[in-house]
Amino acid sequence: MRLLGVTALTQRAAPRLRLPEIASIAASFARARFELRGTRRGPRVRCFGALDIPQRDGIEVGEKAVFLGGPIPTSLRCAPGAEIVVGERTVCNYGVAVTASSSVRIGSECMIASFVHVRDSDGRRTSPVVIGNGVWIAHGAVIEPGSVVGDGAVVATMAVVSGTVPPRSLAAGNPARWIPLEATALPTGPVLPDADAARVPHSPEEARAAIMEWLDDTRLFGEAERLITSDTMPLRESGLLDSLGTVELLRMLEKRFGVEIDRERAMRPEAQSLKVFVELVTHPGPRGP
Amino acid sequence: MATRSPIELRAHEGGEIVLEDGVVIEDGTSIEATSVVRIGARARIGPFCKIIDNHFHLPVGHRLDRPESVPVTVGPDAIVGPHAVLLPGAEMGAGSLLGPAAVLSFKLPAGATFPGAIHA
Repeated sequence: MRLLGVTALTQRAAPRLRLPEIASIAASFARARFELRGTRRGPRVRCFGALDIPQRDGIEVGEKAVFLGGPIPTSLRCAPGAEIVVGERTVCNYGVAVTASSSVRIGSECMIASFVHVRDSDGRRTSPVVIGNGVWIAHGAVIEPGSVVGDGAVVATMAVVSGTVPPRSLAAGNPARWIPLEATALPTGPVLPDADAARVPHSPEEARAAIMEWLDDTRLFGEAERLITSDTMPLRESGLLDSLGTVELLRMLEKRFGVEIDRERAMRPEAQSLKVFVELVTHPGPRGP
Repeated sequence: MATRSPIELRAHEGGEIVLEDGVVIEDGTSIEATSVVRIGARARIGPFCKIIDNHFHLPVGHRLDRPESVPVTVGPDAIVGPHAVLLPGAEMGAGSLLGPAAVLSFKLPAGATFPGAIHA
């Protein structure tokens, strides 16, 4: 397998390769030479599907980059005089569209999922896009002109990024907001024994007021009392709060009340009503009241 | 109903995609299963949807490790709008409606309507 130039990436994903797979990988080197003809291409680039490249000057693909195949071709559209740089060992799924009027630079070891769109011009303004190293952009996300995505960041499904995403953060939503990646990790860490058993450090009224204030300020524009008709109303099912918003709310509560909320419990599907969020503050441990 | 773009149905090793009677899937939609993806009878999946029961990568830790799969279920008579995404753990109740370009990762009760992307 080493003779065929199979990278560590493939070996990890599929440790035992069968003959058709080996043949397909071997063919992918030849396909990359054909599909990326006329571009600046590093060694051992692989390509498993059609690429749509109308203009080949200014396109640079780093060593061991991979373009996966699928129902829709990936397109790299580079205006004359512009540049598209795809870093080393970056993997692009199918249906990705990169459009450059001036410059789009994608770092090394990135993972670009299907139907991701990256563009540096929206027809009015043109501003270069820089995507750092080790960035994971999930299905259908859009990276708008002038965006800078930091190293190791994750862009969630269908997010629309327009601006700066700091390194090692998770960006989600339209327009994308971000939180540090560590804040999303499951679970947060060891919860002290009996932390939730006896002491109730905060009153439910205090917690409820803080949650309503936060929802008013960040989500519901002062309409929280009107929109939230009962304390048991599911906030996510009614579209008032999304998953990233839930994490942001939990972080606000942890900071404000000095508690460590059990993340696994807090991310359960039923944990989305005002009543449950209040309980998470008054009983932050894994078991609840 | 693939008229312009192909539909991708991909059951990974050990995965199962179940399409019950009268399901309509429009073009460009992709369904990937590593455990079970079940589409109920007469459900309608709009164009360019994505349905996955695994994120395939971890956001923190080694990116090539796979997280656990969580089955995805679309109930009978449910409607999934165009460009919508159903993530692991998504569950649509019978007759529920998911708006265009919405992203669902939790349970939508029977008959409920979830709005799509923000209106300009």
